[in-house]
Amino acid sequence: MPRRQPAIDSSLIASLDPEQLFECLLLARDRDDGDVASECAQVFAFRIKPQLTRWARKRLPEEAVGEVVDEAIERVVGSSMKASTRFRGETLPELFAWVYRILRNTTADHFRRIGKPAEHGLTIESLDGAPGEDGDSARSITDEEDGYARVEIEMVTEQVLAGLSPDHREVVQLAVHQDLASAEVADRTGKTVANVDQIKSRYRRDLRSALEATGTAATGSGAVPPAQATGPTAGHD
Amino acid sequence: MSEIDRRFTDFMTAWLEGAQPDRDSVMSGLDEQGQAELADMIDAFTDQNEWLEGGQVDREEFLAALATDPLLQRIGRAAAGISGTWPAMLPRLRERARLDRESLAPLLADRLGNPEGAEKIADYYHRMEWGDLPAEGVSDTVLAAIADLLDTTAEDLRDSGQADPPGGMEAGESSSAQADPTAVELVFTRTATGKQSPGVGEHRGDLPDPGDWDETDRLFLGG
Repeated sequence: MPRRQPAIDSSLIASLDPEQLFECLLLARDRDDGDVASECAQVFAFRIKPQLTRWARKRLPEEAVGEVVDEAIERVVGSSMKASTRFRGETLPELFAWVYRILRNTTADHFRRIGKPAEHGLTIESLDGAPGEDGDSARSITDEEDGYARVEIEMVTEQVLAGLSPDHREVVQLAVHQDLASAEVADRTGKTVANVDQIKSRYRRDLRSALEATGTAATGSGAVPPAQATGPTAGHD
Repeated sequence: MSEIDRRFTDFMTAWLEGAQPDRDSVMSGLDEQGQAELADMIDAFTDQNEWLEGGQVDREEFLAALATDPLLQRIGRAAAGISGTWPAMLPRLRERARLDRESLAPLLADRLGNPEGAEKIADYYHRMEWGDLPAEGVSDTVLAAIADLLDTTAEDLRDSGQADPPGGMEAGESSSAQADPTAVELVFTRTATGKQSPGVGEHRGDLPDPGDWDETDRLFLGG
């Protein structure tokens, strides 16, 4: 794309609202105008990043927020550069919903990535530190070993999580699936440490019961997958 | 559009028009998960929403962010380039893997079975991060090797490299009809007194002709 064109008036781009910036970006690429495309994308990212960051801070450990938000913005811009995936709405709420959906997918992918099986997964026995009822030592499931059981465990985990209230679900995601200390979870959620421990304990008990009911636990296998964020899953929207 | 997205846009459209839409009504009929998701969207939109405040972006703040936030520079390169979002994605993954570009190149050369070609491979990789390399020319072999080094998949890399080729529309045409055409069209008016837009990156020279390709060229240009 040509990048040496007569100077543009950047104050005009700075005055565009998010819908207009998006439109301008699409138009600039369609017209092969690299300077305008670049600045529109940059101003768009500059405008939306604070809000996406605030949303992410409520759901992710601080060290993950930056990367997840950057990746979400990257996906938004990337989707806009393909006719098959670009935003096709007409209003600001529609644009927001589209961006928000991408942010949630990116967050879900992050949780999925950090909760990989085998060396990163939890076993049922590790939920409460005790050996399994049948005395078998635990083993982690890998995708290669038992994909069906893994899918079943993920479904059961999602069902148990869905039965929690939103604030209990948040505690579980932070404490159990992101492995944060109870004190840190309490600090982030505004609950007491005792309350956090209680929620964790109740979740583990409910999950164990649910898994045992499916027969998955009885096989001695029991990798606990990461909490799945709700909504559509991986990939661009 | 999903049911939740539809309810959200209806609710927010009414809200933006000054109506007082009822949250209970918009949630009616959704399961607990759907209600939580919809509430989350509504809260996120209405909570300190700079989008709604509108107005001119502070130029000094923007330039300061441009100087300090790598994402903004990378997004600019991606938007103006021919490599999809590789200019943003590859550095991000590389940083996550704690690899600088100088360290990655010899590793990539090894994986491609061409350690002697590290310098040329480094140059091609640099072009990928700079948005200067046509993504469709990069082979699956190269993407698989990079994916392995950066803990991603070749499929994700291929998808991220895809973008509709720039150009193909005449001035005056619009790809869609949403925004105020006057405000957007004015942007494309060049003025002699306007400031140069933030640089996207220098073009790094011509690519070799197919007749002059060696194996490394073929891996990065031949698709």
